[in-house]
Amino acid sequence: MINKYLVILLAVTISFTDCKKDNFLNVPPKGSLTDQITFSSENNADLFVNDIYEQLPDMNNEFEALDQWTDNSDVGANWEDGLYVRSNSMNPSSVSSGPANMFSWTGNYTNIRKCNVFLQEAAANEKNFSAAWYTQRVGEVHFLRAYFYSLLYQCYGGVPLISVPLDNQTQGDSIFVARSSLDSTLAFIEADCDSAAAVLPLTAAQSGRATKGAALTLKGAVELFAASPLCNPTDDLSKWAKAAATNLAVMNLNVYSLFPDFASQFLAANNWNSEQIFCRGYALPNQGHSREGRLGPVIVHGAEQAWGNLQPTQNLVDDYLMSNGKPITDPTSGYDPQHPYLNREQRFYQSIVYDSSEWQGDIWESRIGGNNQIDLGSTSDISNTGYNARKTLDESINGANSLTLSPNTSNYTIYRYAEVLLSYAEAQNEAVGPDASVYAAVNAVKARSALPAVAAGLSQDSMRTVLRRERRVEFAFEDKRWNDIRRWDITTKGPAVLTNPMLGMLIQPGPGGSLTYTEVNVFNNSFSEYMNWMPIPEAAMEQNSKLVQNAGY
Amino acid sequence: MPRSNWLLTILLLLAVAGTLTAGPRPISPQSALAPRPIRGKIVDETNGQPIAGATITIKGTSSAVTSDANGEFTIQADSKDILVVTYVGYETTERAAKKVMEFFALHPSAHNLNEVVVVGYGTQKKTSLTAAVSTINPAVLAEKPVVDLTNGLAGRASGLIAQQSSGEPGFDMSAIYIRGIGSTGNTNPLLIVDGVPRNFSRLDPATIETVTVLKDAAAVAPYGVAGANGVILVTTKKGKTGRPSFSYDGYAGIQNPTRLPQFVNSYQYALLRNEGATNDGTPIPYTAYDLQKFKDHTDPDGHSDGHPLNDIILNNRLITYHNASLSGGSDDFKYYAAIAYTNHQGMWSTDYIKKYNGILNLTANPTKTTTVGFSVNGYIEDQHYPSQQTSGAILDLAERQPPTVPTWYSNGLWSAWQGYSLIGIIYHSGYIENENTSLLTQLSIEQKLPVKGLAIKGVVSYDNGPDPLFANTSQYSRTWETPIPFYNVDTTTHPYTYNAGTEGVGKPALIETWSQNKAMTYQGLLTYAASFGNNDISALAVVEDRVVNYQAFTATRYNYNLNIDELNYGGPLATDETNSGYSSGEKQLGYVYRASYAYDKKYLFEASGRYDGSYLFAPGHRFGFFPAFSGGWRLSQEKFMRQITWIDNLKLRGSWGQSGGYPSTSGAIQTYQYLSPYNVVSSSAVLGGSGTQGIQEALQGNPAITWEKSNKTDVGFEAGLWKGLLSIEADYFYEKRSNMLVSIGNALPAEYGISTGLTNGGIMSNHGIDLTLTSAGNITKDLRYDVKGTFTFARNKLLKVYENSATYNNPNRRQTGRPLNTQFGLKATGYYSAADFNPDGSLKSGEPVPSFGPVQPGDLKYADLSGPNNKPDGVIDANDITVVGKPSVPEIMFGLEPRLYFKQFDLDLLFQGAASSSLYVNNYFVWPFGSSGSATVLAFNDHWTPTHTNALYPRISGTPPSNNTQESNWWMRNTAYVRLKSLQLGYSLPGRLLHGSLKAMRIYIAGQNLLTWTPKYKENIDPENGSKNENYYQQRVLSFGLSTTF
Repeated sequence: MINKYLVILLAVTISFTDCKKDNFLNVPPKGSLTDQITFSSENNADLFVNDIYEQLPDMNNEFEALDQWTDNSDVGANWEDGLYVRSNSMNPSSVSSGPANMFSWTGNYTNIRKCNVFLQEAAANEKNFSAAWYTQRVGEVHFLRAYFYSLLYQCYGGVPLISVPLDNQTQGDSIFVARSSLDSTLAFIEADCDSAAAVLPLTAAQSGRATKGAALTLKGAVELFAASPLCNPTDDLSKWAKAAATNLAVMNLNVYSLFPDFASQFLAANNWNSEQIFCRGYALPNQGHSREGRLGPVIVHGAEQAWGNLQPTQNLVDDYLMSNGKPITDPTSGYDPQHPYLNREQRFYQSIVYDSSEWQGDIWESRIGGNNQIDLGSTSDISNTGYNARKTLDESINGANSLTLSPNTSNYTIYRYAEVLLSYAEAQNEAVGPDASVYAAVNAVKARSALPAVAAGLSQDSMRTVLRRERRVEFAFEDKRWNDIRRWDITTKGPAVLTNPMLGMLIQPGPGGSLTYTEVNVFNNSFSEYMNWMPIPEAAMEQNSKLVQNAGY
Repeated sequence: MPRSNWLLTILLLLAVAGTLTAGPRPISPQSALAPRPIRGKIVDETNGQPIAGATITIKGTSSAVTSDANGEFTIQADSKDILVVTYVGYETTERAAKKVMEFFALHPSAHNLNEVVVVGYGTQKKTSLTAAVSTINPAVLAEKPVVDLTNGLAGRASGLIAQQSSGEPGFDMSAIYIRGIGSTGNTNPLLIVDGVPRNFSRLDPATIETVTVLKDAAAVAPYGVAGANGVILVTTKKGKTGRPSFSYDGYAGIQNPTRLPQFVNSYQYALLRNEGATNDGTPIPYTAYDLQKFKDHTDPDGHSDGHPLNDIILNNRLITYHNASLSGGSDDFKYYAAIAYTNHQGMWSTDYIKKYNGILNLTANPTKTTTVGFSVNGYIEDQHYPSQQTSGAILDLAERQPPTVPTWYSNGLWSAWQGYSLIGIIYHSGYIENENTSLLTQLSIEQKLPVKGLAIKGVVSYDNGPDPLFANTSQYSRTWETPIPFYNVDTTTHPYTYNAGTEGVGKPALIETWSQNKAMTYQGLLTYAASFGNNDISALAVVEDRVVNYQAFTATRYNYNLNIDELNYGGPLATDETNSGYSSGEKQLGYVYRASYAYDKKYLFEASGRYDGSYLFAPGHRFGFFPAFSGGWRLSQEKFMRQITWIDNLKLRGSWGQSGGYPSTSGAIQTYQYLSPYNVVSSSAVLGGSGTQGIQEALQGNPAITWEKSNKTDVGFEAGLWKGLLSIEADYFYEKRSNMLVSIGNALPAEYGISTGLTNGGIMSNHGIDLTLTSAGNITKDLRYDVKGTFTFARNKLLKVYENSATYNNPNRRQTGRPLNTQFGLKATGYYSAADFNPDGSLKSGEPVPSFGPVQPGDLKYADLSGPNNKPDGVIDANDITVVGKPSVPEIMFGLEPRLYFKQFDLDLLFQGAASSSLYVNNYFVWPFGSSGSATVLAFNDHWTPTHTNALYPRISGTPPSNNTQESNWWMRNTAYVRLKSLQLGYSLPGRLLHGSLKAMRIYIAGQNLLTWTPKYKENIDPENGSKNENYYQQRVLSFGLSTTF
């Protein structure tokens, strides 16, 4: 009797083990695709490219603006990276990955791998695509790869150049790549930009995609960096000339022009305007941004509304010219330190929220006793300097709504035409001196903001001063200054912008409604010259023994 | 062969077997004699003490009574009846009914030869057990004001280490480690309820019949690939033969945090801020006028003195519990049913959970040889908390918010700080309501076969509830988010004005989420047990198949114009609605065996194991074999031991075996590591003005991924001495876990660009001891005691973990050879003093230079231990890191459970403690103004100043200097603690006060976490809480309860 049962049970058992495959245990993952499917059609492969574009820094959803790392802005809260950078604290064990992960060593290499995978797989599956699609997308991905390398290059200097997807199973020790020199890294980026520029159209079929102009602008920006004192201590003029030529090439495309209104070029209504060369786009319902909530003025109409993370310093405010085009340091400028906000250039009013200025119909007051009283102890989000940023923010958006609804769809401008003009002017001034083309470029930018032309007959040095001030003011809060102060090597030298204190404006009411303006030291910056190059993260150093750390760390 | 076929085969088998053996039912013998009252008294055989609550049944009938507080009973029976007396912890005793049965002595079952222990897929006699198991007396779980079952286990069983890091209703389960941490991956034990993998933590404690902890290879081998972390078996109560017995149990208690950190008042805050600014050389933020106003409280809204933490935490939060149960039955049909209601309030009134448990267990014997079991065990939890922030974020905000911002203004309006309003979030943000459900159902049919000792059993269970392996649950959740109103004072106007603002959503939003986790488990069991002379043989074979399906979807509507929390009434635009969904599954098939042989009940041998397959591995690599062997020698049965009268029981045992662990890292089981998939990203770049989808590489796969392999060895002994005065059970264990998933990321360059599938490369060992001591006896005639002590020590060691060369080559930093999660950091030697600096503020030459920014007197000074060439290099950096702390999970856990019985009183205590663990304290909790936060009173009182250089904390700065916030020994705390974890004092009504149907009544007070000693640190933090002390605070509970039986 028992045998019978045992036999049946055994039969049941054997019938299982008999199954040659254990496929009855399959639980297929539905959201996963194979590489064959991904690169089987233009439609599918486009999704892979979309993901690379998605990795562009999402700076409109970032509260730690890069200007906090510079003398343009203080930080909203004392734990933010900007304060860490300006406290002489950068070291290999704790390297900030930068706003929006922009400077992340591993993050950028992850993005570079995406580009490399696309280039490799698209080539292997070329038969699945039309020639036009293939050429266009390969061009875009070359541009994107150059962009991610440019972020690394401008942070760390020469970096390992990896142009194929690494595979530890087939490539052995060659997956460990040493750093290339500054020049080779630059050449790699230039080559990718050239490949892109050669095939990309002048105007994008779809907004947000890279164009010929974008590729040349990127190339020109990196070449300007490479020609500047940090990378070019011997002042090799040919480097400046190359940068000038590339920026001139963008100008000669005749695609771009300055948008007539400086302030409104950053609003969603003017997305993809004639000045914007390359931008990260935003769209509703769920890919909008919350720039106003993160960066806008804190107390509005008596209620806390936004995080106030762009806190312009007095140092920046002092660099805005008078409306007559003269710097406030010029005794003939008409500047009155006890009426500091009178008769300043248009961009000041378009860029800065200051005491007694209006924001959303409310009068914003940073004076002692005011509704946004300067926060000397940094105990709240309210500005520590007595100023808040205005430029790039859409005043029609309430900060609280911004934070929760991310309703804004304005572009984050990565490159715009004014930069090309000022980069050209700078490079040309260094390469050959202040010729007419230099004047033309800088005056075009100034004229848009109703400023008089630069005085004729300036020396190369004087022109340099004009251009650097112009660049700071024109691009304030556009995350350009961190690269500028390092490439000019002025963090600890010359104006030593990161070893001098950050200033704010203390405004004390007196009898009869009078106000006394006193510049106060709100933070003692501290920085070492070697930190112009960020340290390669300790973990990366430890994982790849071929890497050599930047000097000083 | 599809699964349904073999299932059908087993069921058919059962049916056929049933008809073969089921004969006509014999008629129960009816007594011809008239029953008469029989009186008696139940006492403990060892000490003569009366036993209250014992069940006295007339054999073969449902007629039963319960002994009163004096142990006395009266039952109607005739002289031919056999009385059966049962009581938990004692042997079941039978005796013929006599008119007066003065002493019905029960034998404590600690020595009970027939005591059975629940083991994997069955039960075994304790005496013949060759595996290492711990049992927990379920009585210690009931009546305690503890809602989550996992929180009642710490200190109760040897080999079990538990850590409860949160006290939040519904989220307060303890992490449990059986024999410590044996893996770098998942360390959760397998949880089994009534034989099936199920999460037990939210079941009704009063319905638990047994809790068994399976510890060694012999015990866990039947669980194959899932057993390596140990197994906790829980069985639920079944009906007992006897008259229907109806009981009510209930308690009501109040809860308060065990430890509430104390933050500075506004005057202290302003002083500290000014001190920091002076040290930093920046303007002084608070004037003398401000300080005076903070001090004298004359300007409560302009110069507030807020205490956000104390303001939001309500005192004496309620916890209530009611349970009603019915049990009884005959030999043919038994039933147990219980319902329970629990109301567990959180620290603020919008945070609570209401739990409704119900259980029905039926057992029927339709034939003499057939047993059918049917059970339904379920619960519904209604959980409620504020919509906007987790409790941790609320506490974080309350701890950080400076006291200069009041929680409420003097006119009753509530404030906000940095755009967040505590009162707004807690009381005006909408809600999250979760309906967590669990339904465990089970049908089993057991048929004895015509061969003596041979039986076959089929079990089918359908569960819909929380997954025991993954975080998947069956839940319906509604989140209603509303704009959060708050007020800011405008002190520029006189009188002050209070302006309304909002945070959170601009208009209300509703998110509904539904998820369902369904598990079907099919088991076919064949058991055999027989004795031939001195030879005892038993065997078990099991086929188990398990299929789990999980589905979830979410629907969201935004921009509600009306305050109606229904999906239908959301905003009208297409962009006002979104939805998403997801599904997953699990499959497992295993073949289990166990065979044991005993010679002369002295020499015990057992072999068990499992051939197990799981969907987690690549096709062709799915099945593994996990065998175990064990043996025992009952020395006390040997003739030469019989003369030693003080030894009642002595057994040596040992086991060796292999078991498996699911491939996992960081506590999470890894699925689909064998694929190299590309994942679809639902929301990608905006191109052409609208959002797109994206595809990205997910992982570079590892097709060879397999299970963790655990080799476990255990030797132990059990001894019973001096007739119950002392029992000892002690084990030494050693485990070597290999094949642990490790990331080879460290062996790849950081430029690799993608994470690679994990590799089965890690090896670690784990060893330690478990010890259980028990004693019971009488101190005086009326004063009886019993006491149980448990001790667990487990220490692991990483043998191979693929760390990078920079740590491996530095002996101070090497992780290999050290316990997992050993804490590393710099070694602080004290504070810099003015003597360390040159007049220009630079460090004197010879002082090692820290690389974390400028330092000044009062900052931490670190030891220059090493450098790039493993020699001190004059620079303090990552090369100087060394071991500064133990892992945060304790290596030692112990419990002492004394119980005293004096006449009608009973006292039950649990002292529980842990040792050998470290906590890294950080952020604003110890660094004033960290994360823009506040500061503790401790920091205010004990920080470095030029005149107080022997301070607990460094100098004050407006921003904690990076130099001082490096992880270092300065911030490590030894979290050794002893707790009066549980206390219960009860009083049972004497029998003379009981009449009618009331059979027993007991009132008691109970407490949980009543006292905590942490001698090794000063911070006001619960030893089980996290480093910033922002986990929901552990609660001290005091309750009053009543228990009655009818």
